[in-house]
Amino acid sequence: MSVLRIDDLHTYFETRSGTVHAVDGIDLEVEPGEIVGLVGESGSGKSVTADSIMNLVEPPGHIPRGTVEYDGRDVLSLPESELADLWGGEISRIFQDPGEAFNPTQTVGRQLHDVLRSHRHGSVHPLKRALGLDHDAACREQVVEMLDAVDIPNPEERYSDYPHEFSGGMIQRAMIAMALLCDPALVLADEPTTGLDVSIERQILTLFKDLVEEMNTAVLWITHDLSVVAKLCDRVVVMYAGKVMEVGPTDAVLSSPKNPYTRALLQSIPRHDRPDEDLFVMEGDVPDPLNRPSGCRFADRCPEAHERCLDAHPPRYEAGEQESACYLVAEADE
Amino acid sequence: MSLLEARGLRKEFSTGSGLLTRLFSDDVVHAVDGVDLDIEAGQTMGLVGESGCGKSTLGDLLLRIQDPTDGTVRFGDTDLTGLSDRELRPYRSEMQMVFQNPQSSLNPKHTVGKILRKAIRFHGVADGADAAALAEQHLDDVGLRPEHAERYPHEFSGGQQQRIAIARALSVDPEFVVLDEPVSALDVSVQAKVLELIDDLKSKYDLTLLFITHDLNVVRHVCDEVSVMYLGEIVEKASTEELFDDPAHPYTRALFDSITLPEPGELDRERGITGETPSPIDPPSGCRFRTRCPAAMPECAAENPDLVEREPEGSAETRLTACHLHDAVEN
Repeated sequence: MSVLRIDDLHTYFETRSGTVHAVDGIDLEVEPGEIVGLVGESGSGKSVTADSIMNLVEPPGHIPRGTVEYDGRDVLSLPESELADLWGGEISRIFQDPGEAFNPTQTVGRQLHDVLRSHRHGSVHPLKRALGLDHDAACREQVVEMLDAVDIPNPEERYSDYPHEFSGGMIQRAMIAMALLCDPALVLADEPTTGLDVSIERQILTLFKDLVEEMNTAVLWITHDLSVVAKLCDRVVVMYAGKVMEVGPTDAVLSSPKNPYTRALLQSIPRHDRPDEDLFVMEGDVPDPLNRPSGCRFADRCPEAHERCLDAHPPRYEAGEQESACYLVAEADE
Repeated sequence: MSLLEARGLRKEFSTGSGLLTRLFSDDVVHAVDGVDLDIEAGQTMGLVGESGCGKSTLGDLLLRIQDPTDGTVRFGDTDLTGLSDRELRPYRSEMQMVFQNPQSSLNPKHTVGKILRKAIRFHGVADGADAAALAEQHLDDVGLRPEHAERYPHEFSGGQQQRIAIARALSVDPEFVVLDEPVSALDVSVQAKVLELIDDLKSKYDLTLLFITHDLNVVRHVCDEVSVMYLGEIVEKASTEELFDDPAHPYTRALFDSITLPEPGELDRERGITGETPSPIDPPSGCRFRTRCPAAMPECAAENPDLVEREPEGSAETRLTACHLHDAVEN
């Protein structure tokens, strides 16, 4: 059974100018121990998808349709108390900005300790906490082990350092440590390596992949960067303007993309090993989320568009190991 | 003669902001530490390095946006080093800058048309109706319509804002433009568009460019020459083709090992750089890269290698590297 199963998810935002269709009917599955890449450019709806999975969509946002099942449970209708148990325990999240995960006024070790402690023993009285009476030696030991596992040098000493005393790469490692501390079944990672230098990114991807494989953790890795997906993910889901355009094993999608948007995206990435190839320049812009076209979302920028594409957004057709939302795939079969 | 020539450029910052820390603290950040750089007219020079290597500061020093602690910058026939702000003013329109983040470089209170007209008038390029016409022409150059001149920066997408920033830089008719990570914050589809635009405008206006970036894939597509920077120093300089055919400096090689491509494959654990860049407050003795260098030798700790011209075998071109390994081979 899938760890995560999303069916026909719609997430809308009501604004003064109209309804923003941020996520517009997507299906997605993550199997146990699988690393799935959710790829898209700005405005594709990938981050809103992550918020929806955590049931963190707040007004003016709402989810008019669709289900999110975690381990067979419907996340969108769980009472708040059970949701709180899911977050940080069975589902954890890694952010692009460590500022979202860490409190600048507490040491990194202490924050990790508290996460683990409350996961194990439940919440603690604030007075007890303020007096430092909630300290748990076993938790501390495990935190130090985890800091060591993410290759932070001198973990004993770094335990007592504040977030600002960590370098960019090191605080990302600490955030990974926090996310994996409670042995979650699913990690949602939202562009955690964007903005890091390539050499540091490489170190962190290697480390992360080793750790989640060892712990058999399922991961949904959200990114705009297909070269990160190439190195990390078993499967990839390509999103555009609130829709899933293509799904399939990473190798297959990257080496023979079955959707014109995936192809265009791949051809617009500059590559040092293909200096003489002109970059593909997509005409126009991502469609206005207030006023999405009724046909295929990509039709007005698609070099292969034809009349049929303007009628309705295509369903996902099977194409070998992949699924592609494109009429061309269906026509090739006919 | 090169259009731009920097010699011995250095920039130090003190770490504290208060008077006392400034007076009594010895902590000095060596952001740029003795850089020589020549850029030929009509060329696009790439300046590559990781964050904190000093590449953006070097760009600022070349344009005198910041004053160097030491060293000289010659632009054309003029030594810019000792010039006052007033004396610099005629050169400001000759040398322009495009920043990574257009949101912070475009005045949010002015319409796009006004932003361009102001720049054009300030630099005395044109006045009145001429300035307006010129502004419109430059908006057209970057693919925007005349009616866009009446809109404010926030009404545009990130890619369009970057095109506006480019239009503003070019509207004062510069010869030399520093582009500081101009496409790093953009989506790839938008990035391709802006790169194409930069290429078109470079030929149209005969520009000389310094392209600052961390992305070697982009460098391969836009630059004629590349300088690689590490901890305030240039460690290798070569033509783009030579550099990509055969990266010579161990740091350049390590950077190349870290390049990612959207190509299926396992992460090669043996490649890439280990550790992090040391602090520019207290850089390693000798060669700056020795603490992470797989080929470091005892002498690397003793003496910082000079950036020396080498002639690779069978090549007419010269390249510069700063590495004891290459010194040893030659001797």
